[in-house]
Amino acid sequence: MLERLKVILSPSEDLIQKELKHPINKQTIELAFYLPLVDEAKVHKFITVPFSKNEYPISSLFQSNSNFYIVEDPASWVDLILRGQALIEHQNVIYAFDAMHYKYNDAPVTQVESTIRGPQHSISEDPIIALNLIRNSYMSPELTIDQTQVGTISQTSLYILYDQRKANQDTLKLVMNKIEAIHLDLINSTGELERLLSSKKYQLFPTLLMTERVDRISRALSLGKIVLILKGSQYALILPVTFFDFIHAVEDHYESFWMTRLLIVVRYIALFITVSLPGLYIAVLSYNPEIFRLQLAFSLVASRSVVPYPSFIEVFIMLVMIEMLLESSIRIPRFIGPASTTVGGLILGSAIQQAGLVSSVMIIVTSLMAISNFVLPVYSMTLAVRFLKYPIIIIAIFFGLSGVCVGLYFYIVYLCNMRSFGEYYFRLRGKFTPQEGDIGQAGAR
Amino acid sequence: MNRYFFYNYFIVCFTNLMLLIPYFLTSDRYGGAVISIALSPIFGYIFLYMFTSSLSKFPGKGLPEIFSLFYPKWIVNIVMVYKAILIGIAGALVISTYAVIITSFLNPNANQYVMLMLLLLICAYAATRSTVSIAFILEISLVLSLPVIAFVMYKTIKNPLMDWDAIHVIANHVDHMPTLLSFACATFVFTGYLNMGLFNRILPPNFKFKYIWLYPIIAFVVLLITFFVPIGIHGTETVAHYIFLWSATADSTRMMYGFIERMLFVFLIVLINLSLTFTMVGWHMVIEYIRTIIPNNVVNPDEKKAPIRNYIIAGSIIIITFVIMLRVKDGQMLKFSSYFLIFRLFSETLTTTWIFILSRKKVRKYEKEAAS
Repeated sequence: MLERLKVILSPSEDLIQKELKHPINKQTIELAFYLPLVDEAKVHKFITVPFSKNEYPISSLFQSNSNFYIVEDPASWVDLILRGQALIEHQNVIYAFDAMHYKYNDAPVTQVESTIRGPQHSISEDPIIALNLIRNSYMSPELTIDQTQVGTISQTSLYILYDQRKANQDTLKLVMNKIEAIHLDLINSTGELERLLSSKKYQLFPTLLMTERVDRISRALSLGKIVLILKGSQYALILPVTFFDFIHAVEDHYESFWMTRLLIVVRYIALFITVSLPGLYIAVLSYNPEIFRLQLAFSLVASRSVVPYPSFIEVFIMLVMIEMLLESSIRIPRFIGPASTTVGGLILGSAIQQAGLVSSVMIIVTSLMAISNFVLPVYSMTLAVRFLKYPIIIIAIFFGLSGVCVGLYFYIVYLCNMRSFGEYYFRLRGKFTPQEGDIGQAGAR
Repeated sequence: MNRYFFYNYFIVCFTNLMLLIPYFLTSDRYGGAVISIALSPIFGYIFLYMFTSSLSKFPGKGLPEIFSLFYPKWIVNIVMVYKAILIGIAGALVISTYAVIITSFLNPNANQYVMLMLLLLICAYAATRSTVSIAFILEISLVLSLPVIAFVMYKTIKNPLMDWDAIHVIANHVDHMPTLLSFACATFVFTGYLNMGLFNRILPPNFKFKYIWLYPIIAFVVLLITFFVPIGIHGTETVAHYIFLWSATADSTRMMYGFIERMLFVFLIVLINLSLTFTMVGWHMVIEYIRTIIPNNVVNPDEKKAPIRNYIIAGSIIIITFVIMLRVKDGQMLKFSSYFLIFRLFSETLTTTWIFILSRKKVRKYEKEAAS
């Protein structure tokens, strides 16, 4: 049975295949199961312990206990073993033993990527629970799990998951080489791993997707991507990814079609706003107030009439304030959190405007910018985008509106030039037929 | 993947139509401009067909590789340097014209040369990327700007100031002989196919050019709009008073309900996008062509990292452009542009026919091999 299973199932670290030999009565049983999927205590209690104690013939136990049943058809083995059954062979008879164990109750609730109507649990810091959830949501015999250790002192286990048939072998090799090249004493979190794996040190955008959601992971696996799970970390890494994966929330698959399309458009608008709004504020008010229609230009300039310094100083004051607010609300203990944001946001904002240090339009701009930043569904992209507005502000100070355009153009160039583990990071997919082929395939001649 | 050809074709078409071409055409509006415009799509289509059909005989090869199939190294080098200089001049003209536009319309108190330097730097940075990346940038920027261009054109046509009689008057001057300059201007709009001389490298091996008859037709419609609409808005005489004709035309259009009232700013923002992209593509071709001269050059459309030679070439392009622009006054630039356009007409005729002959040669060679 074991040889045959080796052929059917992809080689995986978590597939336990044992051959037990009793020293006294010379009986053997063969045992196979997926470790994360079964309750090990149950397997011990019903199979291994009675077999080793040898109180009465093991075959009579198999026949008398209702948890065991005989499997006739070898074609159903894969199905059974993926459903958390342990397969036992004894005297050329195959039994299945139901040791299935869903660990949904042990998994924590999602903290960062919460959905309204999707699954509420995230993967756990215990890798066995995480693998249980993933194996249960992606029931394919092609799912391969490799295990390595990273960190010379911490020896943290790292699980590499991929669908053997769909994953790109070149990408896989690249990732394995990168993981082997890691030399660090301690690795405690996936974020560290993400920085080590990403190709360049000074990257503006994340090239790996950090997620805690099981459904995102299983979808990524089905698209032939590679998933890394680190022991002791609640986040998995997905690679390779494109820019559009970061704009895409899991919920887009669960809600109505039109609304989700609209939401995606809204996210792009939010991205544009949060990157360019402060820069545009400076450019328009200090260089070209005549862009807007007359009434609007008047009201903008009038709101700034009390402010005693140029617009960019105003922008810097507000941006420093908002960054401190965001940072402080993460750092302080949870039960004071709401108080600080209330004090900072509401009271300080209105007070600073009444004192005439900052115009009221700037308050609107700042809050709009901060809110639209958090529209983006993936946190790593949110962080990356939070930085992007500063270069735009700097260039807007010196060059005005054309500076903002050039800055945004630079970002587009930068994005198009990025590759995530050999995949194009930022390109419109468009219609693609395999007969036609893709660009860039002709290669070097 | 035909869309990448589409983008390459129309970046040339739109960028030049928004900059200096309308000025040269309208200054010749009582002469041969109208007949040149009428004749140019035919000319453009014949050359487009010749060039694309020859390229499809050389799948996955750019111009340098095609020439080096037939000629020794030194001839290829001369041809490539010549092509590179020509393309580089086109890019430099576009970007410096745009720098003038910015300083006259958007930022009157900014220093023109500082502005130009900023634009040159961003273009050079973009041009040093790999060919595949360039194709993606081109796609993104055109997808973002085409709707806005269509909107600008639509609003301008629907302008209540539009006077159709003026258009009729000019259109009746179709019975003059075409002049060289106006014909060169009108045909320049149709020469986007020349970019394929480099971008053929990234096309898949079994690529087929489809719908090429459609491209000149669209370009022709756009050319008609860009030529006749300013005449309808400014009138037959005043139209020659503007150098940057379309900026002035966009400025005479008002958006009643938008919070940006003047169309000019929308137009300028789109135009910066287009000019940067056009120059980026042009200079990327320059970089790639010059690189073929350097010994042990590896042709790879999807490089992981831009090699140092890219930066060196791009830096020298910047320096040359900047120095020339420091010496040249606006009036001289116009004159120079007109000479360049005429020269380019002959040069491109020569190149296209040459490639066409080479491709037939190749076919004959294969037929001989098959027969023997």
